[in-house]
Amino acid sequence: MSAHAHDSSEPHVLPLKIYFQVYGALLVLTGATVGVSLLDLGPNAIYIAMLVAVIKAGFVVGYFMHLRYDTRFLSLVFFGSLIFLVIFFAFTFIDLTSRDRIDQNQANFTLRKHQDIQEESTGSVTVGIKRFRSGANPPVLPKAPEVKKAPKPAAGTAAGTGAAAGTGAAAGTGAAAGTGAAAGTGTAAGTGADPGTGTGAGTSEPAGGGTAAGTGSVAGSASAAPGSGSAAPAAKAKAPAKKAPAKKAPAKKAH
Amino acid sequence: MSAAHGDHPKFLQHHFHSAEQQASASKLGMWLFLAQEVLFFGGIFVAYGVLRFLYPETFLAAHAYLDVKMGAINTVILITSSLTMALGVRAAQTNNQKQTVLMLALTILFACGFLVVKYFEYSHKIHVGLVTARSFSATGIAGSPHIFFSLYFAMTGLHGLHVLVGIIVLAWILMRARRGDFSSAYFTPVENAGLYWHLVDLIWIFLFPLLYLVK
Amino acid sequence: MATVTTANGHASEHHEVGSNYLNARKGVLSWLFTLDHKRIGVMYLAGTLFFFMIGGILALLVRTELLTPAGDLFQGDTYNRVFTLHGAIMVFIFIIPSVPAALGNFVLPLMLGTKDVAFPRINLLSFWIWMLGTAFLLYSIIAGSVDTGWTFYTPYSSDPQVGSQAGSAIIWALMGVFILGFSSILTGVNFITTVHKMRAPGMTWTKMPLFIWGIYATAVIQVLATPVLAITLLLLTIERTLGIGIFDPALGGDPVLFQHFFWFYSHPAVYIMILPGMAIISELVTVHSKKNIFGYKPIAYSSMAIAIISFLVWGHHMFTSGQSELASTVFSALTFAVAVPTAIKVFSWVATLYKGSISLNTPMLYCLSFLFLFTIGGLTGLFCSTLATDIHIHDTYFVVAHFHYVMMGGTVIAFLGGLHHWWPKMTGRWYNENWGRFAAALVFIGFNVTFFSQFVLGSQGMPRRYHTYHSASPDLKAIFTKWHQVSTVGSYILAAGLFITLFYLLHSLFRGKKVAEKNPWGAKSLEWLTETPPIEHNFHEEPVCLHGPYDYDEISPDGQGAGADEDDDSPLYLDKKTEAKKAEEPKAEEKKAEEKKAEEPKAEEKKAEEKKAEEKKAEEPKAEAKKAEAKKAEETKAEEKKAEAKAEAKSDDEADKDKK
Repeated sequence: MSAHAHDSSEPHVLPLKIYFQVYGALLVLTGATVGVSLLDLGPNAIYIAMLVAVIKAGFVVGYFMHLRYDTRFLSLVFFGSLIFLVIFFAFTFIDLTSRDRIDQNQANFTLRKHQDIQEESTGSVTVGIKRFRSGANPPVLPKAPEVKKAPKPAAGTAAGTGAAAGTGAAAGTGAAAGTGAAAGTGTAAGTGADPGTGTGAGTSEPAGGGTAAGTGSVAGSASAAPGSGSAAPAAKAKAPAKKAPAKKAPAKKAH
Repeated sequence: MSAAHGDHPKFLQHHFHSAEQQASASKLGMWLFLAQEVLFFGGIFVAYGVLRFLYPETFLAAHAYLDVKMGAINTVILITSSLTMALGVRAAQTNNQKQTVLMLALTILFACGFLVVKYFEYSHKIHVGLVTARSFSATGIAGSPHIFFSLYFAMTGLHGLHVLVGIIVLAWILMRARRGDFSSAYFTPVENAGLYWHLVDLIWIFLFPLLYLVK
Repeated sequence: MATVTTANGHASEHHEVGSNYLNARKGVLSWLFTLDHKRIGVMYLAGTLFFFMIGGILALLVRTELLTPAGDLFQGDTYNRVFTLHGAIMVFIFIIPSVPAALGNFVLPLMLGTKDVAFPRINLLSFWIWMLGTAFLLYSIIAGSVDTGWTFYTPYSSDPQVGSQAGSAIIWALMGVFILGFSSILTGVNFITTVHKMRAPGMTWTKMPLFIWGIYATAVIQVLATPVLAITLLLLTIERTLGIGIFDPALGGDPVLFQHFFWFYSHPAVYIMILPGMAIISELVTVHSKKNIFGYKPIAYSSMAIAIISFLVWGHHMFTSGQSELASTVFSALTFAVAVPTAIKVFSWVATLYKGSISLNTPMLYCLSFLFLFTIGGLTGLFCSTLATDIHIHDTYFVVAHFHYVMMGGTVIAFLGGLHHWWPKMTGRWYNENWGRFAAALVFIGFNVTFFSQFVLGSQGMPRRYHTYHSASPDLKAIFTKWHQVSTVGSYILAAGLFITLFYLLHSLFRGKKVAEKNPWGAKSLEWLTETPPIEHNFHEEPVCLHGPYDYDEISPDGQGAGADEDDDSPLYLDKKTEAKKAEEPKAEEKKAEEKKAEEPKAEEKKAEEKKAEEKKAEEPKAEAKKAEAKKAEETKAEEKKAEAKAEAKSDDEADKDKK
């Protein structure tokens, strides 16, 4: 901690030579990055381009911005902000890159489950409540993550009967079921609000459903805003079948 | 410890003890501001990453419609302006008022040059309909090219806005430099404006390959 | 100490006896264009409290609507607008600036022993920006009012075809929040710089009051997270006007991406709200129990740890959004990590109370309320962060109850406690203590009745943001109706408590007993060394910090802490190292008495003291540095920052020394 440049009142002046050397390096690197882009490097190109950009950025930050010669705390501030940016990037991509993988496993599972439940469910509201209250589990599911899938189809079917929200809520699935109901009353299949899948399909639907139905029923008054959040699982329960095509749809359409 | 003794230098605000404290506080404040700029632009870079991940073919096809030559020229212009800015700060540090003014003026000139090139690029894109999604009218590019061009306009637009702000800030600093406000004892405003300007350059260093070059 | 004496001469020239920051300058313009952090703080306080009232009234409307199962007070659309406005006002206009910008602005520089924040003009700018942002947000009501909820989720918010009345309103609201964000960032930049560069001589990082640690951690989040909100809202605005296809799925965008963007800010923002609340509690709990804080460093570092962890957990708002299960699992696991530093704080506060001389005055009552309510809020947070449980309670009243326990039961209660704690110093007047206690009790009871019943509602499946529940099945309807009614009655009690508070505080401004002492609570931090109310430049002479902020004497049998006595000259050091310096302690009272004549001898005295302080400091960093290495990964950063800053402080002091 001994060497703090700002201790002295005289400004720390870099020799002119350094500035011109850095300038030269930046120009060369710019040329290099353009040159490399002309080669056909395939998917590696972006890494090389980014590497060059990072080196260039390092020169600008270190010399033009004097960070190399300033107190280390300023470096901490700057690189700290980069660390948080990396966190932002990393977690978003954890989600993005793993959405399909698990969804596809579940697609098969959910479909099968959907049939099972339809068979055993009478579609009546009170059944749901009693089952929940008496402690007997709703359809027993083998794995934890899938639990949320179970009530959804139930709610979906119940929605058809018109007693939507009651079911959802009673089944203890809260919002998921509630919005599931909204989706049910809304425009059934069109509610592809599951954003993962819904890249193309019927996006205005959930919102439209929400507001249109907003005349007074429990389901209806749900603002459509949460809809995009909570309608998702409901949609997910239905969506898997058409998930795969829906995902690629916009891209293909344009082809 | 030259500055803060006995007489109270004009530039020293009353709540600071010394010129050093004031200078280091301003600099820290500026870097904190830059940190938030990093995250501000970082957000849109994340958006770029996500959409590129979702539409890789589109990005490949669409980026070819950007003019690499103009992008490269602008890169050189910005790097040069960064150099003149750094030299301007150095001139202020060494009490060379004339050179400070000259370098600041050059920096502003390059900044304007950057915007002029950008203007030609934009007007060409708009002319052929390569614009944001709702008014996108160009045809013949595979995928969903409107996304790429929307991002292009959002990213370079925000960056351009920063250049514009930079010009205003630098003009103000230039005015003060001509008035003789700065010396080796007090050049923080020049330095901070410089930091801001370098950050603008820094962002372009990443924008250029991501938008123009990436294959 | 050339600088100090210069400063003294400088300061005392302007001030006559009886002059304070409130009456030193007159006229509305002298307020609106003031650079004085205290006045800016007071303006923020008035502004935020006003909007707290507006937001509260909106909440009462919401509760009243839910009194009956049918939608008899509002149409669904109106209801959506009312709760959106309630949320947006409370979050963006009230809570976020309430503690840091209002109380923090007033107290922080005083606590640091400095004349002002580092950038007074930027401070004023941030207040003006706050007003501008507020104006935008309010204009959105005229422009049709927003009904998206305060979260502005896409695709509802991005699709210009939907909610046609909300067409331009949402743009206004988005821009309003965007602008408010800048205000928050500028406050954060200002406070971080102030804490690093403006501390009084002798105030090392571990001698700073914990309030400052909390505000510092908050400022870090404000600077690092708020810009992401800015870019998010900007992109959403462009999405809605021009269509860019980032968030709008109709154009190929990804609406879940919006939630990532939004919560990358808004989850840390939750800690922007609660950390200052915790910061206040650290003050209240020591001052009003006359006891040194238990676990100073753990509390300080846990603030930093919370700040950093807050960036790693945003996905727990998105368990049901279509986010991948892997991401949900990761976020769920990380979320539990928040419990660790939070629990460290709560345990430390409780341990501080142990065998303290607790005076059950209004601030302490709020402090105790906080401990109780925040613990409930925190523990129910574990329900919500557990992936499987959250699927069931997501978007139900359980979540509503949870975050109100944290935001209202945590931050707002702490804010009220802090307000009462610093009210005498800010205004120079006493509020009515009996009314204060009564109101605090009402608030506590009303709050619990209002929100605990919502836990029941949520666990029974009552979804949030529904304005009716008449179509629920009969037995559910009965349950919902009962608990909604309980909740609504509770909200009236709560409102009564808050309005009583408003009235007696306003009353005290004009009729309240004048505060005679500088230090009515017998507190040890620097803000109590100055006049009441403080003079325009805070201190007659720059204070020198020689002891920790909570170095209370051991409790005497009659339960009185030593600090309560104005003229008490007894040593306050518990620290062995400083024992030797007892005799030299600079008493603020002495200083005042001596005035200008004593300047020279005192400068000598101070010089000696400073040297000692420096010597002591020279020892500390080494020990600190060693400790830092041993710390866990998440604390490393806080440590580093600390060590860095300490070194800086040292070098600053050395600079001072040079001048001599």
